Amino acid sequence: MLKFSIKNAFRKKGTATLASIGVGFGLMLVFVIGAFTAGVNAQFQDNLTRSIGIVEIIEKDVEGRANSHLPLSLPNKLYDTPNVGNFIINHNIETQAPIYFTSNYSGPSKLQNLGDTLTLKGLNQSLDQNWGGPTTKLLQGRFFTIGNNEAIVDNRLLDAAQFPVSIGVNITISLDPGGINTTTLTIVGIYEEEDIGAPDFVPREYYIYTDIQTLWNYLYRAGEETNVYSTIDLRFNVETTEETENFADSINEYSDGGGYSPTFITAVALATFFKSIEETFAIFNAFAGIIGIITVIAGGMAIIVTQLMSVTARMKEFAILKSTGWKNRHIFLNVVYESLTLGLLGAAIGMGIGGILIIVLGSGASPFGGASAIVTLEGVIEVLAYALGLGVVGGLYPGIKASRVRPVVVLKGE
Amino acid sequence: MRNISLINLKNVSKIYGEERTTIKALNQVDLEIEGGKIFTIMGPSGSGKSTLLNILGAMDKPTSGEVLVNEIDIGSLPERKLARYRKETIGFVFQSFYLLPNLDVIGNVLIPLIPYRIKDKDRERAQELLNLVGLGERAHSKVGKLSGGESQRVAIARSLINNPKVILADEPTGNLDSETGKSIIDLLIKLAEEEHKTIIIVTHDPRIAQVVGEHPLGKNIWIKDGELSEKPTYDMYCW
Repeated sequence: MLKFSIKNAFRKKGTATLASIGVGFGLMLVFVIGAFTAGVNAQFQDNLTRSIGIVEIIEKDVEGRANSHLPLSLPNKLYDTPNVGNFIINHNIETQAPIYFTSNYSGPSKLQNLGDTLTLKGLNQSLDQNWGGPTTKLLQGRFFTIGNNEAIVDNRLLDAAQFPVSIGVNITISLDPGGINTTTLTIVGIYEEEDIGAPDFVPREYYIYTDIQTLWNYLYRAGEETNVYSTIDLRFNVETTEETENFADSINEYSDGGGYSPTFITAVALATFFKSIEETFAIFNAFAGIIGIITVIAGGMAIIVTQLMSVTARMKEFAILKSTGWKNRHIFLNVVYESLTLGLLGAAIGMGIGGILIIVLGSGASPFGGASAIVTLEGVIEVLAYALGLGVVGGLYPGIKASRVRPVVVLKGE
Repeated sequence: MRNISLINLKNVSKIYGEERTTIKALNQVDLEIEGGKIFTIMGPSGSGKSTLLNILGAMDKPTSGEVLVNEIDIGSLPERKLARYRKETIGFVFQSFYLLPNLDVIGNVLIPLIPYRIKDKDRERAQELLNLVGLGERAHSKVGKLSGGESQRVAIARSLINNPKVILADEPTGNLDSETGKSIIDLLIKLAEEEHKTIIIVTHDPRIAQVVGEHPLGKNIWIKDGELSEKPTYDMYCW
């Protein structure tokens, strides 16, 4: 009967195909949203996993890391924090330059998008090596040497920067907001910086790293506070986000009690940050899902209308089938199978167009370029489940109508 | 064996409508359908011919009376069992053939078996039936390319696929020219003669009644205002 129903579904080829295309567009939306959601979720999960155990310390109640000034003695004090210090495996330090140092290289004329920024940071190479930071991810060239005005740059700049980025090129650093007093850093290496995985239109922060001593010299020349850290990162020997958060809370409580006086600090578990992004993204996902479902329902209406039209036009045919011994159940199933066929064709169309869309949107050429999408088995099953659900729901009423045909009434006068 | 009563109608009435607007389509009809015979049911429009055919074919239920098949009153059976009765006992042939255009000739013959999984032996039987109705060479033709007479032959083959005891033909020649119509009646008579089928033909055409009436297996039944008669009255000719 299935073969018969599949053939029957296309008795009116044009109408049936249009109905399937209608459903297909709805399912395409579900498929594409599902793939991008899975991609972004995987990225978040990856970030979340890698961030477990990491706590970032900045000065309390300051806006932006560049305004955070932590004393050089703070790392040792952190190791002395009661019930916490024993669990610290290692730490890293960074000092971030004020934004005007590199403001000539920010924005859409210098980088890809409005909101993109370039930030200069200083780090201690030996601590960073122990930490597994940027200096352990060198792709080209060499490390900077201390005091030689050298830098390593973020590899994403090779694509994003509208200014020359290669080994040997000089980057001009402004030592005042007007850009009158300047110095230069020479690029000696390019390191790998992992992208956030969001679409291209989401603003990004790109980095230049030099040694911390060089940056402190620049800060001194610029009249900014020097010999300070902007951030101190701690890595704890824990396995869960909750444990990480507990240590961050302990540090915050100890700070609030004056434990690091005169400095007051804020400790943030990075996993908390990623979790909050994930939760925000989950709300977006829910909205996107609702839009997808509404679109699918609209497409499903196409199946119902097509099947109702088809069934109404074929009442005599059903009457004849009944007269040859078909049961009500057979006629009902026949109509439901027909609408399932339309739904599954819609799924094939949706996944076909969706697949192309995922490739196009995921390519560098599109405004969504760089957005990671993953076509999962669950995603495919979800689309097929929608298609089957639509097929059944779309065929229910027409199927009942067809199965209740009264041959005596329909064939009267024949 | 061939003369044993297949279907017995006892005091069957069929009334349509309610209260003042009622129409008595059949009025206390008694009829005995014997196996292997050919019946014509003749009568003017609105006389109750099709109602009688529908009740015999379990497509409609009587308002009162009994329709006995193997001593079972099919009028009291649920729809599920009636479908089985139609499948196993009755083959319908309609005036308008009703072939499905998306299936080929043999596919149309096999329509009644579609819900029950078609086997190779069913295909062989369909081919045999097409040979019987003279369309053996056209098994895989599109039905749209068939003439009216050929289409009706396919419909007859379709009605035979379940090997029913009774063929109910409602105006089977109504859409055909007289020569083609005669060949269809000859085919139905052949089914009674060779396959021992009981043939019941509802028709307006007195020539069919004449052919059947002259046949040794034939019997004409006349109906007017829902009542049966074995001989026509004068006004029965005046429809």
